[in-house]
Amino acid sequence: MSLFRHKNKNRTLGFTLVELSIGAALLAVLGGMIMHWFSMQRKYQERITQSSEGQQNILMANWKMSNELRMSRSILYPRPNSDKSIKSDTMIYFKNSCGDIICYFHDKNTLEIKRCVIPNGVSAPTVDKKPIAQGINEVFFTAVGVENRLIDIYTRSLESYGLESIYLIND
Amino acid sequence: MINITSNKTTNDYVLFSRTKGVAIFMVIGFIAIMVPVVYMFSQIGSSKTKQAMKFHEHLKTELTAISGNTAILSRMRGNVREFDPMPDETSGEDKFSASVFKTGTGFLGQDLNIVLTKAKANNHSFTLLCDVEQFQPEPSPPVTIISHDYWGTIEPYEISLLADALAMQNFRGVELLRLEQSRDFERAYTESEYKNIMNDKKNSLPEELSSSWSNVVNALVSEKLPKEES
Repeated sequence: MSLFRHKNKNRTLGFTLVELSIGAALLAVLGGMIMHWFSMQRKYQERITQSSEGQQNILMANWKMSNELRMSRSILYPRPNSDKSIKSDTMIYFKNSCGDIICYFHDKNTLEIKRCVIPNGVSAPTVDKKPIAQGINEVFFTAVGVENRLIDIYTRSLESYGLESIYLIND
Repeated sequence: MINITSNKTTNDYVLFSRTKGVAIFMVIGFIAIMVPVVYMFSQIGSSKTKQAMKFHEHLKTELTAISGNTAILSRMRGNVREFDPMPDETSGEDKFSASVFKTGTGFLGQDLNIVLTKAKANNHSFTLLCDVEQFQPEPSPPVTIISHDYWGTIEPYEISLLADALAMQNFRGVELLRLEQSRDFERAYTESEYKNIMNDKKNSLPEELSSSWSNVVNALVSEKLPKEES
């Protein structure tokens, strides 16, 4: 007993190992909760940014394609099957207002929609240097009209989706 | 003999100092964590949020301008002509301004117009420019309209310049000439000759397109204009 009392009397102020351990454990839990919340916020913000980018990509792609398609003269491929069922593909060929053949096709490696001009004449086909749209993960062109004048375009960019339906106005 | 009173006082003091020690350690540690976390929030959080808001504003102004453009085209389809300027229009809660400038008359008597639609949200603005051919209302509306947009415009565009208006008309003329050339090309060959020429293009197509080219050629041949006997 006297020994114990002697120790208490001479004890210096400070932290024991147990105190430090409890404090460190509490701070670790607190820090973990904050960091988890922080990372959730960052993920949420990234999702917002990605969503905006995706919508932007789809809007650009649909706008550019629908403008030219609307003015074109006929869809050459895809066309509905012989039993009149719908047909989809990742590329579309059509005759534009000048009578030339235009093809939009999806490049899976670069995630771009490219435009190829195939002259309705003796000249050789050329692919536009600048793609129609970038950051497009999926695109499907679906022929739904029996007169080859109605086409649906489904696009996906990141987590955003777009669907456009176009009716050709020219003969 | 043990001095109980003295012992109690010492234990109380030790317990108090332990509690105080943990509390001080917690407070210092909490501040040490929170200061950099708050700083990171202010740096990363604000920049990301600003970026997201920028995208949002961009999309908003873009969609408002497109809606405005569609509204103007609809009115032109309803035979409204040369309503210049047309301010204080709204699409939902967002305002846009739209103007129509007549630039001349086309080959078929149609009016050639330039339509300018502008939307603004906070610090972001979006302007959409297109030219519109508006035909005469015979026998009655809806009037046929043909529009071309200028989203792909790289050079700065000044619509008040006569040269630009002429360039647009020439562009339309070039399109019509090219259509005539492609039709002449179809008329110059028989179906089998035309099919052979188009089939030969397969070798110069990008790899992804070659598999479906035969279907395209069949469709082209089925739509080909008949050969004209000279």
